[in-house]
Amino acid sequence: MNLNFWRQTNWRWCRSLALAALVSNMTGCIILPVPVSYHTHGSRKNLRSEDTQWLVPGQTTRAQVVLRLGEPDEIEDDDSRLVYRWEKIYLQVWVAVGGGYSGAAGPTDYGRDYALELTFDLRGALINQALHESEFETKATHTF
Amino acid sequence: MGTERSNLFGCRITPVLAVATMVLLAQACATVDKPSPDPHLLNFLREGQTKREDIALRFGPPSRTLEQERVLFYRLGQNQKGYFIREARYENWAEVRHSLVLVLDEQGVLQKHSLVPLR
Repeated sequence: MNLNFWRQTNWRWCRSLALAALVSNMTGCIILPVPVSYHTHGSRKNLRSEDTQWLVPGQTTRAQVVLRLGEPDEIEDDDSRLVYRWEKIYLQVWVAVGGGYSGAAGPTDYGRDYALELTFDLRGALINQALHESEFETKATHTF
Repeated sequence: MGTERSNLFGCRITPVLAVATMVLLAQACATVDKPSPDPHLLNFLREGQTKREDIALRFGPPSRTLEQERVLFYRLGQNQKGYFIREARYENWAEVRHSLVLVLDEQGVLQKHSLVPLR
């Protein structure tokens, strides 16, 4: 009975101590994830990954593609491949760390690079389309 | 007295001249890439009529071409006063509002065109 009491008290004490240590370490740190959806400054904004249903292999021509999407970002020398690129930010994580009379804060942007790759045959008809995606992150920190 | 006066005059006039020169030079730098917007820039484009030469005279060299120069691309900016041609030296689309696409036929006559908003 006595032994059990001391075991329980000890466990409670340890747990409280760990929690106090954790909380005291976290007081100067704020992490705020913010879901966003916008294109980066230099990105074209007329393309979305879900807007490609009108591209029909064997039917859609190169001229139809450029009349609708505009100038491509890449053109193969023989015009057989066009690539359209755009970038979107989908999450911003704001981190603020303070200590004493100074601190640092800034967002980290998490984004996705998109590349719509279109290949054409010699007649200029669409053969294939592929959408490539890759992740990137950019960090900006301000100290004060 | 005369020497003091000329020194005083010299001391005052030199910085004024220097500042005026710098302002003039800065203005010259600022106007190098100034676009001249035109609300009617695209009005001369007529499908079935406008020729390649007319387009080149009006817009200059295209930013890119396709299919042996049968398809021409121009990058356009736009402000309250109208459209203006953007040089292709910019690496991204930050300053480009529209992509003008011109499709010519074998005779070099405009067949189709579209103004694609990019921003």
